[in-house]
Amino acid sequence: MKNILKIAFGIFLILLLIKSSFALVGVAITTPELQLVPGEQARWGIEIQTVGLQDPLLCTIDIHKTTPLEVTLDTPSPIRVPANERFPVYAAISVPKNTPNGKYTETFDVSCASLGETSGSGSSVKEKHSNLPIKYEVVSSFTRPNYTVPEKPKTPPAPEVVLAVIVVFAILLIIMFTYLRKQKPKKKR
Amino acid sequence: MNKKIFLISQIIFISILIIFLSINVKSQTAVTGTFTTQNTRPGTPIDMMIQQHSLNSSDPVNPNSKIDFDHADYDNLFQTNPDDTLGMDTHMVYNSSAPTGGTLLWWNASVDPESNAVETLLCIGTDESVGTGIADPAFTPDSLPATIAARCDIVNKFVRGNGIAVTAGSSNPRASKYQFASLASENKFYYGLGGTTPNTFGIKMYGHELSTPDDFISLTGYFASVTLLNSKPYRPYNFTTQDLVLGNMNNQNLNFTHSPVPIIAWNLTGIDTGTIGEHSDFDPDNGTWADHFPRDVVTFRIKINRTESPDLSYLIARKDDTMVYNDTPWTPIAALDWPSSTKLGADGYAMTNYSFEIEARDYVASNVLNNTGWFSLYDFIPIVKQVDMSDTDSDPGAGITIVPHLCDTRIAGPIVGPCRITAVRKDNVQKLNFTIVTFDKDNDCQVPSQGLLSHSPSPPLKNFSATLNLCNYTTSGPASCSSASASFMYKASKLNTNGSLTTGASECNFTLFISPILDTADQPNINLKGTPPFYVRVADPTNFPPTTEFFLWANVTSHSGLLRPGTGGTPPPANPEFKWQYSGVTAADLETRSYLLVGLVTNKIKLGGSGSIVLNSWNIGTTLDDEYNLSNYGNLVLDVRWSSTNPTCTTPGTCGVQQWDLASSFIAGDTGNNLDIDDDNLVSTPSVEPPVSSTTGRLTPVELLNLPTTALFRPITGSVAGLWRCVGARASPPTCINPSTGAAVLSTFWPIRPITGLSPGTYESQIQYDLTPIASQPTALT
Repeated sequence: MKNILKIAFGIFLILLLIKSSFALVGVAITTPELQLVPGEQARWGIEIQTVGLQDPLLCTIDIHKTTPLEVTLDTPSPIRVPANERFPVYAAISVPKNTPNGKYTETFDVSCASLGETSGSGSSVKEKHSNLPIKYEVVSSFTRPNYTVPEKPKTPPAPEVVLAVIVVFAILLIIMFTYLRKQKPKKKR
Repeated sequence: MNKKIFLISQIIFISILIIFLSINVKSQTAVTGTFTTQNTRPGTPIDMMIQQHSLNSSDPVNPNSKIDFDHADYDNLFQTNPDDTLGMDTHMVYNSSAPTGGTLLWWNASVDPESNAVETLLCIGTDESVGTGIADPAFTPDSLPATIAARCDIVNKFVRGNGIAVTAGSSNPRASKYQFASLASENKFYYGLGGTTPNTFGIKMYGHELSTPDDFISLTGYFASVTLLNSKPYRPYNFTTQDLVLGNMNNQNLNFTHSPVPIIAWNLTGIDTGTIGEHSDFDPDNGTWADHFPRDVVTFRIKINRTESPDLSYLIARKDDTMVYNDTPWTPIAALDWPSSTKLGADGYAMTNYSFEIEARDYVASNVLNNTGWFSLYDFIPIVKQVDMSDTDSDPGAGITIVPHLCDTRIAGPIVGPCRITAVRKDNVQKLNFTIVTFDKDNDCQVPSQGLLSHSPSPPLKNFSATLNLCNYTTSGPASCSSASASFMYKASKLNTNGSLTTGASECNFTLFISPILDTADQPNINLKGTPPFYVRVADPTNFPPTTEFFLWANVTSHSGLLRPGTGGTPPPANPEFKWQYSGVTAADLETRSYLLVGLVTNKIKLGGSGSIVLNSWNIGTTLDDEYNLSNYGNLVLDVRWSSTNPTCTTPGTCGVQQWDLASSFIAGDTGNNLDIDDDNLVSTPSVEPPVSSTTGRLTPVELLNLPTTALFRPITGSVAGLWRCVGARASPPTCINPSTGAAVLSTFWPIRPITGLSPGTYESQIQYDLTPIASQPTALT
């Protein structure tokens, strides 16, 4: 009996022991080299992986702008990344019309910090993925199709915007109704 | 003178005679007469008749049934044979339609003048001369036993004492009979010579008196012959196979079959030469003979053998007692198989030959005529036209639609190959699924009832199956990406379609899904070698993101089970240009080396160890509590740069004015004056490295400063400086697996020497590590 209790207590202790991990994200570049025609947009994307994490992250994407590439993230940085997901980040990219043909490599950083609560004392840890490449080739016309990246979803207007429109519309109706009543001709006796 | 002498001599003679007679009469009072008689040989058995069939009675003396017997002799009262032109004849002597126990042979037994018991010595032989006796008059029971056995090779009752007795209690003089049984020797009496040629057998009988010496037999033998009229059925011919795989088999040669369960047909009308129309029957014994024997029951047996492996035979049997043929298809009882030696032809067809043999038989096994030949079983090996891949899900709620990647680099279009698989940090690829579009010339995919995946009738074995291999090397062509050497392999033993079937005159396009994750009863896929793990290296070390393409090999089999080759030549290879890429992923986990109680987990690094901090002295912590390991759970070798913000006091009310500015307190050249990162805490001063004999602590510590200043601190052991990839990850406890763990796991300690003047309290900073893929990714397992 004593042995059983010892074993049970040992198992209990083991269950209480964990490793403290500062694991943050994986950043995967899901888009291969793209062809860009000056003045035309293309799609590009990466994946921020929080697989195995329990807390959401706040991630900043910093384009170094060392080349003519213009990057417009579908969701502006910083981006809230849910926990335990393969979170795609998409962007529209383009180069100005006067960009010379040629191959370029833009770089960017992704840095993420946990939004989870911490306790105790010590130094917090932040992870940064630096100098990740965006390879592209500026061409006058496409020589091959670009890799397919999902288009930016058409997001519906925010609820507050919708509410505001409804309110304005209602006010206009009231004004019109009031005006029409005033304009109604009086009957002659 | 002479007269006197004559008279005197006459008188004397008469006198003497009278005296003599007188004496004898006087000497005897009774007379006994004796005489000897001779036994008469038994008569010869006669008047043999044979039963023609069993329509009525088996009683030969019943006039009503006399037509069922045929007589050998013509002087009998019962003799009215309508078919006497052939003498004594019958259709057959033993079969299921004959009288119970076999056809009867009746005869008038021998008559013994002395009414002694007699037996009939009976000999029936295949040599007709046995019966005629003319050719062999010396053939009697006195012949040598060996001669008798040889001649009486059908029935040998030619041994005295072993003959056939008169039927007991019968007053009928014919009461001797022999009833044929199914003895082996009597098999010779079953059939004619073949075709319509009758066969005549010889019969010889003697009567033998049982109580007399052995040689007391009838003086003469009885000779007869019996003719068998049974003919073999005509030889089947014009063997054909008919696939019922819809109607696209118009170009099918009669010598071919596509279905492994072929529908078999053949012609029966005609004589043995195969000429159509000369007969309306397939057996000459069609019930019109004068012997009144009914139409023969003809059965067929088909034997199909693989010509390459004749040890495997497929016996297909059916019995048909009607005249109708070709009305219903004959289906085999087993599916034709494909021998392992089957080769794929240059035209993309697999073909193997079978021999067939059709037997037409009536009643008895030996009475058959065969039709033999061969035919070919063929199967077009599907061509994989297109492979699409996806490893993520669409998210309709977020408005995201994932378009599967095309893996074929040859096809231009809105999407372009190779397909791309995204590595997942510290995990295997998830949600991987493929869509395979095939071209199948022989339309195996079409099934009326179930859409695509089986024949009608369904072959019990080997239908469509798909194999898809991924290789993560580029050293050789697709042929090297065979199932034996593939890095990752998937099989779908049952394939579903998305319903987007497109059919053409000779085309069968359909879509198959392979999902290593999804494994249901409807889609029992087999993930034989897993999905790519995170550590599969990006092949091209100098090109990140990678453009190196790995080989992908997809193949679909039909019922033959054969695969197209993976490389060029003939027939065209399965998919020479299908390729895939693996995305790079950067990921590194920093975690405590030792286990912590849940209550102690803070997600913060204890600088200087967990003990009390002494100002202006190095605080290096203890080995177990204060080590933090950085492990690479991506697929790129990383440089790691470190920085730290200035530690600030976070204890309200106790913080003094003195701040700890890492930059200002930093003393150039005085290694490790403030906040260091080191890979050991074996020596009290970080700048002093542990002895060489120590297995750890090979890295020189570096000072951490506030951004933008960063310090490069990563493993430098091994052939490539950098944090190598873990080549596995154990989930519990989380452990990086790498043969060279020293390069894949970076031990970090955080020695601090706080400046003097700091107020007591808790100080915190933010440590940042930057992960940067090194410029030249190594090709080795790092």
